[in-house]
Amino acid sequence: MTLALRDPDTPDSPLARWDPRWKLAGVVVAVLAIAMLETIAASAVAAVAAFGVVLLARMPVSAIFGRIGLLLLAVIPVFCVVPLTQPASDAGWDLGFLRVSIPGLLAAGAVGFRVLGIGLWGLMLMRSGAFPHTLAAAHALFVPGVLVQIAQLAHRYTFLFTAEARRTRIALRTRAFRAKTDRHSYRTLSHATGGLLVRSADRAENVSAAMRCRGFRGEYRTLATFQTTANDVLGFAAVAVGAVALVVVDRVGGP
Amino acid sequence: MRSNLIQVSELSHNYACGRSALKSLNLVANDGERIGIVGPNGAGKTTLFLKLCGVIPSRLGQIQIAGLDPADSDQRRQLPNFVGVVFQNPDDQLFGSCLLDDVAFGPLNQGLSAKDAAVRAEDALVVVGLAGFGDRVPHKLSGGEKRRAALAGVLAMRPEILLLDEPTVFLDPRGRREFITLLNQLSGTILIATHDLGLVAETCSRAMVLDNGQISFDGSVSELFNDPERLTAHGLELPSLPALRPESFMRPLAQVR
Repeated sequence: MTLALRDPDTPDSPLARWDPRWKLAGVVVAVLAIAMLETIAASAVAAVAAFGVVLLARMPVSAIFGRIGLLLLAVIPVFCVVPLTQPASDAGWDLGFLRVSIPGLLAAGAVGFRVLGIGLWGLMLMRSGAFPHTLAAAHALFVPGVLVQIAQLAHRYTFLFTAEARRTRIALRTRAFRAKTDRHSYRTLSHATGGLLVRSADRAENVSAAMRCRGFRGEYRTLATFQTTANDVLGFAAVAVGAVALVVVDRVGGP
Repeated sequence: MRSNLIQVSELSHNYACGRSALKSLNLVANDGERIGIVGPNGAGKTTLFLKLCGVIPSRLGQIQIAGLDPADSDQRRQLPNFVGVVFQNPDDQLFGSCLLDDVAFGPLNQGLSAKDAAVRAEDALVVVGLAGFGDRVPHKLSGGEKRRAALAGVLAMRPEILLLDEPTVFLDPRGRREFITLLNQLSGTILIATHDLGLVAETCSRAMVLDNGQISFDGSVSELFNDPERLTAHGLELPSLPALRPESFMRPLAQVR
């Protein structure tokens, strides 16, 4: 396992050319709509649509499936628990003293598809444009500048933090340290983690001083400029109409 | 030429642990001067710079820099327009997600429009030799590029006074050479805190020795370099390069290469 992080390049695609403000607004609408779905059928449709959107962003297929794998890993606990927590009167199968409910399985499936759908929309947002531009778009959509600034700094310094963590790990290894399940390992790792956090806090102070020395007074400012075209609006309208239609169908044909 | 562009009177600072970083320090610098502040680690060089730029609070009347007192909150807000600081570690200073954004950060805070700030940023990148690097992300730059990018971020604000804290630390010989060449092309008042005496020899006309929070020497670079006992007493050492033998410093600094 490596701690290396990489800021991926943005492939050219219709979604990369979409005005980040309209794209962000479209993603918010889509995510809200997916979160409101109840049936497994509508959730599955939403997940498939999200997959189509990610393909439209021209991301490498291996990267898409890698992220899907991570998202599915995250919903495993839902599949393990929800089918076992439904009323005993529900249709299902008895496995010893456990009863696996079919409505429970369907509910877990719906959650899984919703997670997949929301995750894929998020993935598209992250990979179809430069992150700082997306943040600038968020600011243009009235997200408070302080939050945007914090997100931007977190993005920048995550890479530095991981590089520092990597150096610490190498330093430990060069001094013959191998992590085991013993007291010495736990103590060493906690010291190394503590050192990293202290250095991060120190760096945060230094960054704050450097920002103030360059005239920062808490206001977020950016070089990013945006221009809306008819296609940007049409793209947003298509997402919004699709989202509303899916929610309506879900509610009308619900359980 | 403005005299007393920087005036420091009886400046002291104690850390929370009780250690004195600066002890009743006095300093005067005139417009256009290039001063090397040399001294061993922990001498108080960085603390002095942080005081000068208002990051560490001082008392009213202790510091006058470009006609402003960092102890006064209104005047401190104007300081970034006149005083630029390049910190020891460029990673502390490069917080933008791409180089152009980072360099434009200061001009945007000065109230320039996005278009004007971008022009200023591009100009500054050209000055430091990083033309065309605007789209690069800071964590993918080399040490020397990061150092020059940090300087560009400050130069884009067009300050009258530059404070450079250990500007050649972590640089390889080529990066150091490029940085020194760049410094020699800049105008304005420059204060360099360093223990790189070769850098002082090549870029400064005046030197101060800061040790234990006090200035123990203030004079010309050649005067300092001709006093090896003083250097040794303050934990400093002349570079052993032939070009930097004491007799070299008897010549005008422009010839010292």
